[in-house]
Amino acid sequence: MRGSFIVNGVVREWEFPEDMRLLDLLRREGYAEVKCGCREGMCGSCCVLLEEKIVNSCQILAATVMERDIRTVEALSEGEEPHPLITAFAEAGAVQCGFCTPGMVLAAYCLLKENPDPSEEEIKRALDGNYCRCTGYVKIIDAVQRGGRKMREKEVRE
Amino acid sequence: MKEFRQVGRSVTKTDAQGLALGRAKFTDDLLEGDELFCRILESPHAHAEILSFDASQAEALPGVVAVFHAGNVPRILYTSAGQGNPEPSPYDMVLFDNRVRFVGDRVALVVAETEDIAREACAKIQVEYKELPANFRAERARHPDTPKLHGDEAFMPIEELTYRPEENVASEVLLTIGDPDKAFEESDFVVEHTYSVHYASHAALEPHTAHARLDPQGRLVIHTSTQVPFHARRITAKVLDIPVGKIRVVKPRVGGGFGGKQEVLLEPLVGLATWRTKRPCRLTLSRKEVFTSARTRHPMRVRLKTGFLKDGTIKAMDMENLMTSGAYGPHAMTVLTVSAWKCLPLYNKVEHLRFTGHTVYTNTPVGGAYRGYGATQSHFATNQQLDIVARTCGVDLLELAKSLHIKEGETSPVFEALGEGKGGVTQILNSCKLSECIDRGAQAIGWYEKRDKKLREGDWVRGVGMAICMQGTGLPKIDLGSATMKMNEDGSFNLLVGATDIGTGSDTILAQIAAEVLGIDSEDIIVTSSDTDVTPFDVGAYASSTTYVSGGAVKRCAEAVRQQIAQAAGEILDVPQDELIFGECGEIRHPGKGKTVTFAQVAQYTLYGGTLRQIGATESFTGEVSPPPFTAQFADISVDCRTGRIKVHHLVTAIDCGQAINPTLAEGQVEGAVLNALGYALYEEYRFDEKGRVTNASFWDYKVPGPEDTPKITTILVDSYEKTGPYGAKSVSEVPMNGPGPAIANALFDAAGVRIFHLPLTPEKVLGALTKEKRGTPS
Amino acid sequence: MEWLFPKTVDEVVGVLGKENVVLSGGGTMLLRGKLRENTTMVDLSGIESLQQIVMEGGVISLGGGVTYAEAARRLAESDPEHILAQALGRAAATPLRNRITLGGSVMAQPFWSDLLGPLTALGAELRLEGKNSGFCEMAEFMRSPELRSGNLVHSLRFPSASWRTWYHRETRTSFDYPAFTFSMLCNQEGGRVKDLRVVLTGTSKKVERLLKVEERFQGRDVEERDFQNLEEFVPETFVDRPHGSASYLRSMATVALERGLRKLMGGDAG
Repeated sequence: MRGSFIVNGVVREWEFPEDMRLLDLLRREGYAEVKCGCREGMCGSCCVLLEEKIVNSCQILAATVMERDIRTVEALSEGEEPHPLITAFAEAGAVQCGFCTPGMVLAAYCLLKENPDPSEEEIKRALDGNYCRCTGYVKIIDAVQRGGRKMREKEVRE
Repeated sequence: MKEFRQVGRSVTKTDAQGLALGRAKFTDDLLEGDELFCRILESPHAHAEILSFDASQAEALPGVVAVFHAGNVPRILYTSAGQGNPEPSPYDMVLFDNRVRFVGDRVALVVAETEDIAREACAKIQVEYKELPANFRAERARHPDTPKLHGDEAFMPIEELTYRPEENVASEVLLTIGDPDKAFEESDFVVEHTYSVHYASHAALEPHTAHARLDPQGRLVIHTSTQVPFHARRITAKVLDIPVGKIRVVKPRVGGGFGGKQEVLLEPLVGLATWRTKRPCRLTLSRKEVFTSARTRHPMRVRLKTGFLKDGTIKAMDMENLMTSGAYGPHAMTVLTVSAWKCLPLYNKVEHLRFTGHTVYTNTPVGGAYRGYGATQSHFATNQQLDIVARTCGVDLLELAKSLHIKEGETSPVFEALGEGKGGVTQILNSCKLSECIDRGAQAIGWYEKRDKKLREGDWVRGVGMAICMQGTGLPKIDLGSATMKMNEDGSFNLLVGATDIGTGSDTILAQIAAEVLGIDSEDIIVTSSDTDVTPFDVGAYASSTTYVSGGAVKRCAEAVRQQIAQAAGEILDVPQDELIFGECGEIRHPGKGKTVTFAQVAQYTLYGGTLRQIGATESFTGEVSPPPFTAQFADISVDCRTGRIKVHHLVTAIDCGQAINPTLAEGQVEGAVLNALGYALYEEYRFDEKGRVTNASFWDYKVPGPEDTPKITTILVDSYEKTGPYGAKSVSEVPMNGPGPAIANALFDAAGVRIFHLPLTPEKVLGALTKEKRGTPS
Repeated sequence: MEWLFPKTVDEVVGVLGKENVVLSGGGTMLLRGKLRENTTMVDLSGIESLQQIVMEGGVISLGGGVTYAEAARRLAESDPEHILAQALGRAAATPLRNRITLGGSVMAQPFWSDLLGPLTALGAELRLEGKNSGFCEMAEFMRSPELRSGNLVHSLRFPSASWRTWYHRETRTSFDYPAFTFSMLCNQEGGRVKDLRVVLTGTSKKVERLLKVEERFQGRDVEERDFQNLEEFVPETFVDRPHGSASYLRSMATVALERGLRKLMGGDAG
């Protein structure tokens, strides 16, 4: 079947099998930042934003999300400048192997948009669908707090 | 505290931003789209002979390119263990055998145009099995009636290592020092307990994956998520009977390893597929296959007998370990050895020691390297036993631990007696700050405010526990690391290392070490790693070797390069080179004559201007010793006496890892290991049915800790310096795995007076123990 | 396989009776099994009338296409302790809560659902469209497997009364399906227990209302707090789960029951 998808603000026309998952379609079309860790909706590596809400792309049939706003971690950064949240993750030591990171960043981004200064509990709840096996989550939580501060500072400046 | 310029700085990991942007490439991100799909046909039986194998229907399917099986692949015995050559592991596997030995064992490999066709083809392969009796229990493995998994063919490539497959014994390690039996008789107390730890999955987020293609010269190029690119190359060459020089192995970013990828699992398969079909091929394990058919933690039963005096002095220790290998024996000898080698020396004042270790074959998933590598298993026992000793004698545990542990300037006969394939080494400790770790950790957890207090809050009662741990730092005279550097015209350097960054940040810290030698910023060192065509040899990321061994090579290499720079600078400035001082940021000056020259100028001179030569060097390093890192790890928990549920409030790790090259990255290693250990202690377990099938091969029922399960985790990097390590470094990645399990078990006893000897500490198990305790029955 | 993208409920009803028709709400349950070749997939996410949330006239109505996250959020806005907000707000994990739909979940009825218990306790009604168009009580729906085919869950509704609430889900780690859940509601009048509802899910009966517990405490003085022998009221229908054996789970349910009742009656859960 054929359909039109809006990925990171760009309209794409793709031919794809009826039972293809969004994860596989995105990766096929070069969005390698969307990772595959389990295919069960448990690990969160495949997370993308669907109309600004975080979802597991491995649990979504591509046919059901045509013409809807889909964003990967690439959408966060404008031009050459990485999003302050991404810089916060890098600087806080929250990126070890990096496999969970794109999904984790998107989950943090969703949280910080709604709740710019979250508590530790609120951060853990918002990231509850994203596993990390490397960091013990300690520096990830720190990164989200730092990222929130950077985002607030940026808004104040703008 | 030594002051360095680059070492000891928490520089941002070189690949952090690329990874966070999602732009850094993992193995599957490098697929070109023209690869054939491979799929493994797995055994449904725990133990069976293959009577007949017919792939004709599968091969007839349009889109099926090949089916590989025992009938059309050479039978070459090997081990998948990513270790040196010859490996200290039995050669007990072939690519495809006529016998299957566990549910999930390999029967065949289908190669097809699409994933769906490959799956369909697997279903069309007709295999006739004759089921054989299977044994799932290590305790029964050596019984004469128990079916033997391996026959005449399997052998141990290092002859001195015990291997008795006729008894299902994959390894035996024996050690006696002094006269333990006499010492037990002379002890005031003798305590004996049986402990056990269980199967676990590394659960790295990136599943095992590899792809291969032929380059224009007909060489096999394999991209793989591996910890051991050089071993992968060699073992693949061996199994496919291809010269090593015809193979190139490249490691892109790796999504976690933790030991699970210190194994040559997929490379021979994609290599075979590509070599024979002449087409690019890819293979990615499903999460289920990672659970059942990759590698696991080795389950182990530890019987520990301790004889001690009224004041807590330990006179004798007798440790008997029975380790489950699963159906094959990679790391069967080495993990078993480490359970003694990287545990018993901590108790070096114990003059009488016996260690009896056996690794046995069972028809279950296959154990392999897993962070801690045997030490985790035995530390679960030794640390609970130490708690028992202190309580029996009524002495302060912290004071007892501080008095009995190995100290700087001391040694243990265990170091010499045991080795991982070659003999052991004599070593005297240069650095050991364990007592300070104990003190600082105790303060951070609030030890004395909580210990023995059984503070209550409703149905919850609180307790604290401690564990003291060691590990190793590389394998002396076995692990080889090397480094190549070359200078560029702007004063930057390329650093080529075989060392394998699997998310640990080794690329970054190796750059920091080189930068420290040269007096520049680590950002001016461009690291290329883990490409067997380009980077010099390195055993890979295991045995906690990278910082010490690969770092040792980098330091030597940078020193050689610095020498050459000094020589050229001397020529340029026309002064003796030993009068030059290396300043900051690539500036070299002669204080007397007030002349300076920059690295860039030196490069220009050597590449284009004056005496033409490429400034560069290749150097190697192996350790003479394996200086242990140490931890004192503490747990503050509460247990709900009505449900058996354990809530962990706080986990503290005070660690002596020598000089931390990059404190943030070192902390990250501790934090990750600690949470992994918490998962192992409380939630993670393999469940089997009566036919030996894993019933929870999925994150749905194999529970790893998520963000909401994380307690407060505190890491204290204690100031220490190991003079044999690059800028004082020892290792950091494995040792913190060993403490949380026993610390939590000890805290449970502190809180509720029950001691549980078998992981995991599930609520049901804890409640069962509490109930027995209440009734007055010993648990 | 073919896809239909209806814009109205009527369009869906038109195909419901046919063979091999699969309704896709959020799609999360579908991918747990295998999708067969000859299915007609019906994507419900474009039907606006299934996404409505209406709170008026003393009734709360939630569309079958409303996600767990959205339902939890809206309910919590007016009542943070609303039992459905508690249950749906902790089910699964954030990315899944953004996809699991109420209608899909009611139809699939897995034993580990966080939805069935609260809906039963609330006395919810389902509005079905299809061969059995009309309203249907939750309990009846659970009893009648034939209602699950040929119908679509248009919406569900329950009174917007306020309750004292208590919700418990028995899990291992935080991101886990529950071995069992307890949904408990009550009110108090003149210091006495009024309208106690206790619903247990996850046993072999999937959903059980513990009427005997309700009878035991109905009308009693709140201060009395006599929780002796509660075990007698806990069913023997537990089964072994990875979380624990049947007997352990039954014991845990007994503890959870007591703690819930204590909390509802104004004490601490303990």
